[in-house]
Formats: sequence, C-alpha cells, structure tokens
Amino acid sequence: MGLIEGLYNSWFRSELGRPSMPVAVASLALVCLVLSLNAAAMTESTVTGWLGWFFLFGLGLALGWFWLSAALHTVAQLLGGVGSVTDTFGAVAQSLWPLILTGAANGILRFSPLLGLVFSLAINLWVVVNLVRCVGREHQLPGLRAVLCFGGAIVLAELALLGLILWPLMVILGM
Amino acid sequence: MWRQDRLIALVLIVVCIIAALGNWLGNVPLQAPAPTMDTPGRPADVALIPINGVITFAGESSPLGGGATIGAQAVLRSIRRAERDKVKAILVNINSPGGSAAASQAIYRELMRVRKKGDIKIVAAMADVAASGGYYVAAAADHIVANPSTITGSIGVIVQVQNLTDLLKKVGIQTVTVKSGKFKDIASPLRPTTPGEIDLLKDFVNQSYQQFVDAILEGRKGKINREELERVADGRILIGSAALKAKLVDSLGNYYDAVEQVKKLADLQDPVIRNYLAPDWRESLQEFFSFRWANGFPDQPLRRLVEWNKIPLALME
Repeated sequence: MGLIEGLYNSWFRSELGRPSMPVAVASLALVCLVLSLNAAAMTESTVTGWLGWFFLFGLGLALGWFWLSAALHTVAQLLGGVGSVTDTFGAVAQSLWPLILTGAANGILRFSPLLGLVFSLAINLWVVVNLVRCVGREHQLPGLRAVLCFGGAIVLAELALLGLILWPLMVILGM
Repeated sequence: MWRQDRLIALVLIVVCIIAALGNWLGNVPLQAPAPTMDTPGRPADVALIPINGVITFAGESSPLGGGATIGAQAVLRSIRRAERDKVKAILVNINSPGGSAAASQAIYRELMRVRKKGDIKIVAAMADVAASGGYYVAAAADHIVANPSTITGSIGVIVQVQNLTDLLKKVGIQTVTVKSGKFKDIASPLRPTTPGEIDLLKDFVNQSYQQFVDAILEGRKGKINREELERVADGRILIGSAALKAKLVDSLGNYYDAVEQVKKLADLQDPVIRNYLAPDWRESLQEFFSFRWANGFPDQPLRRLVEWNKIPLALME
C-alpha cells in the first residue's frame, strides 16, 4: 500500500517533492511495461518477443534515465540550481509517468487515427512540462531558467551522443 | 481508508495498462500495412517466392547459416501479401526435393485459389531440383520453366516403417504396448507390421497419391491427360528435358527465361520484382525476439516432422 501511495503522490501530487528511489524505480518499471507492450503489439510479437522488448526497453530506460539526469543536473548546476544528483534522478523518474497513457493512446489510434495522434502528442508534451516543472522545483530554478535548463540538457545530451560516436571513430581511424 | 480520488487515479492507471495489454493481445496492426515497394515510388509488379529446401509447415532457417526447410505458413503469408499488393504475377522459384504432403498441398491450393481468380498469373521456375512436393507446388502454375538438367517428377507418396525387433532383442529391451484399438500403434518400429496394417497404409498412401495426381491434372488441365500422367507418375525422377517431353513442364530455360514468361503472360514491359518471402521489418523483429535455440539446428523441424506424424507421410525425392 505504501508503494501505491508513493506512486499516487509522485504522479498526482508532485508538489510534495521527488519520490523515494523504490517509488521512482516502480514508476519507471510501469512505463517500461506499457512501452514494451506497445512495441510487442506493433511488431505482433510472441510472449518471448514481448519479454525481449521488456528487457531491451528496461535497459534503454535505465541508460536514458542516467543520461538525461546527468545532462539536466549539469545544466541546472550551471544555471545556479541547488538540488542534489538524487533530486535530479527522482525528478526525471517522476516526470516520465504520463508515458503509461500511451497504451490507451494506441488503443484510440485504432479507432480514430487523428484523436490517437493528438492524445500521443499531448502525452509527450505532458512529459516535457513535467520535466521542466520537476527539475525547476528540485533545483529551485524560476520558470524561464527551468525551461532553459531542459533545452540546454537536450542539446548537451545530443552533443554527448555525437561525441560518443565521433570519439571511437577518431581513435580507430586516427591511430 | 483510501480516498475516492486515489481510487479513481489507480483505476485509470490500471485501465491504461490493460489497454496496452489489450493492444498487444489483440495482435491487430495499428495501421493498415503499407504496400510493399521495391523501387522507390513503384509498387512491385511481380512477387518472387523462392521455395528452397524441404517443405514443412513450420519451416525454420538456421541463424548459424543455411536454410534447411521452407515453411508453408510463410509461403501462404507471402502469397496473401502479394494478393493484397495487387501484383500482376507471382514467380515461384523452386529448389526443393519435396516435403510433407500437407504443407506442399497447402501451398498448391493457395496458388490455385489465386490463379482461379484470374487477376494474377503464376509462373514456376525450377532450379536444381523440383521433385515430388516441389513439383506439387509447381503444378499450380500457369507455366512451368525447368532447366534441361533439373531433377523433377518423383510423383508419388511414401511411408516407411522400420522394424527394430531384432535389434531390440539383441540389446535385451522388451516393450509392453497397451492400446485401445488394433491400429493404435500402427507403424510401430517395435514389432513387425501386420498384413492388416500394410493394407491400411496402402490405402492411406493411395488416397494421398490420388490427391497428388488429381492436383496435377487440375493445375495442368489441357496440357496433360490422366493417361499421359499415369505413365510417369510412378515415382520416377526425370530430368528437365524428359519432363518437357512428358508434358510435366512447359518450357526449358533458366530463371531469366521464367521472368520473360512472366512478362509475356502478365503483359509487363519492365516489371519490378520483389522477394515476398523476405520478412518485412516487423517480421524480422518478431523473428529476432522469437529466437529459439532449436533454430540453430536446421534438422530439428525434419526430426519433429517424423516424431509428430506417427506415420511420416512424405512427398520426397
């Protein structure tokens, strides 16, 4: 019951602060479950296929969680944020929960492609708004700085990804 | 006690998870599949369906290299896809010694169904070998092209039963069989086959053979009659040139000659030919995630075929 209470507070009463680590992990696990089911439906996978998606997405979600949190935390610190690394991790995990609704969005897509698309876009927008709000709250950043923090983190994460591709190329081809 | 708003929130989340589960279990594509394209901007005119290896229902290829069997299920799906994409012709490229009677028959019937509609022309090209079940499939084509040295024919059905009683006696193994009817352990290798069982198996083989012959006569109506067919349908193998004389094939040539026949029959100038048996990206992903270690051993489906079918009714060269 404590976990469910924690999930409720994390999702619907985010003003209470970031969730505890078990609640954050449970929230991400639910997101992973729904996203893997969506992928399994799209690829018409078997049970083993769904398990494959689940573990693959679990790995992706864990890496993405770390990646995005690291980028957000770096930019937030540069903009004068005061939150800890744990706060940033919690804020990111807390922000992703609307992705659970994509199961319903995909269901709607079957009956009305336009409505399903609007619903899907709304979910993505909701996640972005959540991220800005939660990081701003944890790092005590005012509205504009929180938006800048999110934008900067995305740019930083993409640059880091580019570096991750170019660096091995440089080492392999240049040596 | 939980407040009402919490309960509603919880129910909503559960509904979302159930919706995701329902999407998956419903197994219904979210969007209509796009037509298969070969050249950008041009839909395929000809669906190429290669039939390589032993024909079984659950064909499997080895990820370690080399396909061992061709799955009738995959072939049926590719024929349906070709029909959905409104191709003008189907080119069946056969390199198979045959396989299970049911799987070969299933492919034949599906091709005949498409052929009878009249919108799609079917041409069969024979490679090294297109015998028995392989020929069964080819018989559904409007036109069959064989290389002069292609091994074909082998029109017949075979059931083989081993008698291991002497061997078992030597190693001291005794078997006790309890059965509900006298034919329940028919074709058992643990005892000699009885005359009654031989009669039953003969009847069984003859029925399947008759279906095979009737299928060829239906597929090659107006090209070969029963008398002519029965002369060569005694299980013998023929090379392509002899098969042409025996009216089992329509012309001699290679794959490109078969393409020329497709162009002639379907009235096409510069057709886009696409391999319809190649899985699309969704099927590839599904295959990847449905990987089983057994797939690494290409002989497994054949062994299973023998294990499952107590009487291994096979159309094999």
